[in-house]
Amino acid sequence: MRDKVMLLVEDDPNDEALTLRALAKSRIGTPVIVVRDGAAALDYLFARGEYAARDAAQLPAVMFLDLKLPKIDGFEVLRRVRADERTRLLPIVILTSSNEDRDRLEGYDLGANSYVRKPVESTEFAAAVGQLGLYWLRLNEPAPLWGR
Amino acid sequence: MTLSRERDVRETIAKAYVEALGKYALEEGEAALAQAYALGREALAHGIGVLEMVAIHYEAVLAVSPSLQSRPQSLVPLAAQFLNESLSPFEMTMRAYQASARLLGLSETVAERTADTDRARDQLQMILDATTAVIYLKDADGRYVFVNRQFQQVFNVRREQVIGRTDADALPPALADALRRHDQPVLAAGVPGEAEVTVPLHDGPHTYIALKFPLRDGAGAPYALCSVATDITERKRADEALRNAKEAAESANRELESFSYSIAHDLRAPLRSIDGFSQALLEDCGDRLDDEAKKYLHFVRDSAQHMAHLIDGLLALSRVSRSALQPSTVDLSFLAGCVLQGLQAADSGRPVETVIQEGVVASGDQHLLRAVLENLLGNAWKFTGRCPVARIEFGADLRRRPVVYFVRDNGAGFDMEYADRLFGVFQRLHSAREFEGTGIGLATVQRIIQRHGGRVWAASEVDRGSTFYFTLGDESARE
Repeated sequence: MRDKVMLLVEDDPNDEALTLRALAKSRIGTPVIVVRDGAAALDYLFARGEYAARDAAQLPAVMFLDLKLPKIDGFEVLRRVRADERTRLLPIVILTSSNEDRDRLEGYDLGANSYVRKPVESTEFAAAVGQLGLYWLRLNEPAPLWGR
Repeated sequence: MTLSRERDVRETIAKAYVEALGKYALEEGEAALAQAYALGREALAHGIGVLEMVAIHYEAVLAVSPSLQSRPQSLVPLAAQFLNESLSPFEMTMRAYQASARLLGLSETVAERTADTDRARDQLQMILDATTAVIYLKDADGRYVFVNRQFQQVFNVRREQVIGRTDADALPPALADALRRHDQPVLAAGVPGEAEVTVPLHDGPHTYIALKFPLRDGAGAPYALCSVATDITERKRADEALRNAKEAAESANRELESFSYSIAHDLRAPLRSIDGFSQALLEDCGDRLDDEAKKYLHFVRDSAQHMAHLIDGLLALSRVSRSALQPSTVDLSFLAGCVLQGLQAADSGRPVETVIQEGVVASGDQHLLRAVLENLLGNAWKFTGRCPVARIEFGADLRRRPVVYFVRDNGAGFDMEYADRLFGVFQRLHSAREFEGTGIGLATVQRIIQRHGGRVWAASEVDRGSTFYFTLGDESARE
């Protein structure tokens, strides 16, 4: 687990700061890679463009994905990630402001592993992010992506 | 014949008439009667009229009667018979006249019939001219046989410019094309058809719904086409206006939906920052803040959280308005129990007596009715917060039609004077200091009840509790 990273896809700098702060407070210690739009998220995962030098085989332990994103929105990112053999089993948590039924439904339909609405109340928000970090990095056992 | 000869003839006949009548009166013989007939013929032949003949007769009767003193009364029937005989040549002529008159009459009937036909045709023409439909008749070669006044007005042509001509010869090319295109199949196939024809007119394109049918001769062969077309431009415009209005409403709805979506996403994000960074200040820089500063930061956080609740409430309200009703049978007693359990779990320190009438089942949308109970029972929970012995009751008067459901509490209550403001959005009857709230819950309840075709109202007294009643419209009709 030492070489694992988390991928945070978040365009709001304030939300980014609050999320990073909450993760830091939870003392997980896993490096967090932040990308600020859907296209950058896909570039990272498929080691393209800015991330061409990266080893595509090294997937993050989990991706925290916002839905409303510049360039390529969260649903489209989800769709492309699930459609690709290399990333189809990547754990993905939708972390969004929306709790619209149709967004939840579409998120799960497209294969999200979890859907969490960002609480406005800051202690709740910090607790939610902290729990997510602990759960997906410490507790959850990912699928053996490259072991077959 | 001269006048004197005429008089001579009359006198000769009159003299002979007296002689013959006198003879007949005495003898009543056939010969005398034959004489009467002969005199009648002679008179007729000489142009003596029937009235003159009658005059001659009465002169003769007067001349004869003195010589018949013995039997004067017998003269009357005898004279009548004599007159009858003398007039019979006239009568035969009369019959001939009558016969010829009948013949003449026949020709009069023919004339009358012709007049009738003309009148019928004129009537038909008037009727066809008075109608607002465009009517025309074309022969098998497509030449106009008849057009009504509306045709002339609409297409701005005179009858005589059209009759005997084809569309191409009589009308502007675009119009001719439009008409011919729809007439040709009916003429060719000989079966009736209905067509929507759009024709270019001086005030823009007009749409007609045209009924076209072949006219058939005695043998059933089509020899002409008749078209009766009604202008439906206005109706089309109205339809289009309706369609546009509907689209506008749908687009407004979509806009509202994306607006709500934006609120959910974009208004909440800054609130998260306000609350989050206030908290960060308190936690990370707490040692550099005095108590006053910390108190203000708490106010900031409270306000941010309150606004988040307002946004959530508005979203719930808009969701209630736009989601489709999904009616089913709903166990309200069970739902009320679930909601009260939830309230109890979130506020476990409080002893609240809850009374739920069992078996209250309604027809409606399960999710929305749950939202109604959450709001009403939540309010009851909130406003009994200061009661030493809180009591909350749910039930229904099942005997009434429609059924009246109710949520009752013994809490703070409110002044009925303000009852009309109860269900308005952002309307509150208690200050935030007394009882916190958003002022959206009851507006949401009312919206849901209205969507079910029902009614909601309340009865209350300050410090003696409130009862909220609602109906769900005609539930039997919904099932």
